[in-house]
Amino acid sequence: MARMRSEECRSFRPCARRAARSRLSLTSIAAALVLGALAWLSLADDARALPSFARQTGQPCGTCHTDFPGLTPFGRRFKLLGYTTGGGLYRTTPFSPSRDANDPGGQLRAYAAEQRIDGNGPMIPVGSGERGWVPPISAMAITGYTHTQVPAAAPTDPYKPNDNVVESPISFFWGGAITNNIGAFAQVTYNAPGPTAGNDPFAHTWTWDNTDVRYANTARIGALDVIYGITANNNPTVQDLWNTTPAWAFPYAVPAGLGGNTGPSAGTMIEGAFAARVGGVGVYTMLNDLLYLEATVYRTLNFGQQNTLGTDPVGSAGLFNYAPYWRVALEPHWGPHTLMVGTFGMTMDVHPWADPTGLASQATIPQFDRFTDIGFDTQYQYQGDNYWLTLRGSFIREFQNYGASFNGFNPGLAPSNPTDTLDSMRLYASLAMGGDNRVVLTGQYFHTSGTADAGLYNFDTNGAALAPNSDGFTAELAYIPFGVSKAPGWPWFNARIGLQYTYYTRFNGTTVSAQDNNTLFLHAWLAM
Amino acid sequence: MKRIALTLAALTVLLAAAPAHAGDAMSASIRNCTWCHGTSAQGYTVAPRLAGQQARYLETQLYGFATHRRDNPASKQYMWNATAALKDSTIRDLADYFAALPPRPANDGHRDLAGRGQAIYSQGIPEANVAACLACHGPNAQGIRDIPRLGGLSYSYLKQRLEQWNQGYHGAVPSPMPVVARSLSADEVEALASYLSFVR
Repeated sequence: MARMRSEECRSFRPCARRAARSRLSLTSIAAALVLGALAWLSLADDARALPSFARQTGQPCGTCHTDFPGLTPFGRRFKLLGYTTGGGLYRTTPFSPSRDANDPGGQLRAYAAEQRIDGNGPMIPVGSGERGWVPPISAMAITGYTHTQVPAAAPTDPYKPNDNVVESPISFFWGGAITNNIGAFAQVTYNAPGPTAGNDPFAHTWTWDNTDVRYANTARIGALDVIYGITANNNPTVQDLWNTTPAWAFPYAVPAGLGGNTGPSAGTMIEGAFAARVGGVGVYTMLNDLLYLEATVYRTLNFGQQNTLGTDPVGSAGLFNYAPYWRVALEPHWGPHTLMVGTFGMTMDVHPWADPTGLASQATIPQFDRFTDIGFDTQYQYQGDNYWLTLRGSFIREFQNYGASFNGFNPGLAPSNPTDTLDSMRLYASLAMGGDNRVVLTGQYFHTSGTADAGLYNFDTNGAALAPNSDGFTAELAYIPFGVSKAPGWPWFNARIGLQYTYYTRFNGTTVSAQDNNTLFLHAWLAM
Repeated sequence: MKRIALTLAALTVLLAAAPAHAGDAMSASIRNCTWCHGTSAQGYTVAPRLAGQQARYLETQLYGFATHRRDNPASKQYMWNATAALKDSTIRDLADYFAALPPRPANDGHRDLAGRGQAIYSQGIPEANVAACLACHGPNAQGIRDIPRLGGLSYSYLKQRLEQWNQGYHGAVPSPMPVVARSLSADEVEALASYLSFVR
């Protein structure tokens, strides 16, 4: 049974890229292309630079972002510290004591009393100016125009086959401190309804989106400076500090609308296949501002929970019980330079759906397919006088063991091999120039390759099994009006205007007509 | 799912309902600084070490940021905003706290330039009318009162600050440094910054 397992991923770019492990018949190529396009319909990036963070910290967007949502070293530390650091004019949390409290530093005065060289008071008075607490709520919207080299095949209603302007997604956030040690990034997103041929049978529009609730604290243990914390989140790698891991990787905004890039159909599981379909709790630590360690355990939400929260349950491969995720990253820093070398990974025993449509049955089968993803990533970042240079690389290898699907237990998938591998690589370079009126030039090479498997990827015109191989380049020119200062009038507004072009040299295992999928995406991303 | 949500909600309420101590506000203020300056305030990337700095100097600088007198680019972008809501008592407490932390040297300069830097620091450059740095900053570059501790600060920070004195930016208080720095060549700045980064 041929079935395109395009994950409906709503606003999750990587989830959509995960898309299908499909077995396409020769006669269904056109339909598959349409379905592949539909997988991108509801796409938009999940990443956000939050004005509520700026309100809380008093800092402009450029303190934490080279170009949002790409993070600077300080942005990574803000996340590491649980979104709780303040410093702005507004009280950080509704629960924390006011800075007007009497003798707030009494203990510290005692601690420091013997160290004090002089006893002089302050030279001039500085008014506090502290204001009350404001809920850390933000909003964003992306409007995009998408043009593909070859129009999508019908049916495309309510969109045109090409050259669509789509207002999607629209998101609301809670972003900031809850207490002095607990903070949250929680997103709710509205996605424009898909076309009539959409692949979400449950027609979700509102959905929960990226969510990361953290507790963080610091300690000094012997010679170690320790930042430690707990994360509860709904998307593997959404909690990560670096933009090298899938949840926050470039491109930050992707086409929404049928005219959009159909996107390669294969992607590793950790690249968003279970975004917003899981709940996970983990512990992490940063030692001496150098070594980051994290261990998290995920579990999928059941059919009803996913459906209630706005995700399409059968858009994923199935359900798993407990899946461990790990992350190790070493980030030496010297002056304006930071370098990170790391690894991450996850292993999942996925029980496929008994009914791939989810209509007749919402159960999974007892047998499972095992997916083990192991990633390696690196980043170098340099802060110049008036620019940021960022270089990134990531490689993920997925080991696929189709214990259930290869042996005929999975009604939705029939791979030809008992085991396959799938690789995903990205090489990225970005130059963000200027303080305000920032111009950002970004280029990325992407490469997907894996085992040829006719059951998953069909045959080429010569009858040979296709591999999931895709290669290409994405280039983007972006403009961000406010980097080191704030917008007049409403200082917590920012925008990103981007012109993005994706060029494919290979698409879904073949170079034939690969350029048909080349995509131009002009978008305006507003945040407030 | 519901159980997880309820657990998280209960945890949040419990933690939030805990009595807010006066020290909590100070802890939060400290974390607002160590966010960028490093977990134990030893400096992080472009943010300089605060640990062991002269308390009076820290106070002066915080007021300089808050009143926008210190106006180099990093001060404008980061510190003007960071100090906008600080009260006098908090400034004093933060200065005392960070001054009391034991400093660790950055050790990130060029070792081959350290000898030249030490000579400039100790003896000045008489032919260029550059006074010895130790005259103000002390024999161990530890500073005093409004004069900062330079020993062990990061090479890149020291180099940038020395360069900025000659670029028209203003300090928190009137200082002879623009005159001193004007006479230093680029090589001499590098040598001084290198040497000082190793001073304990």
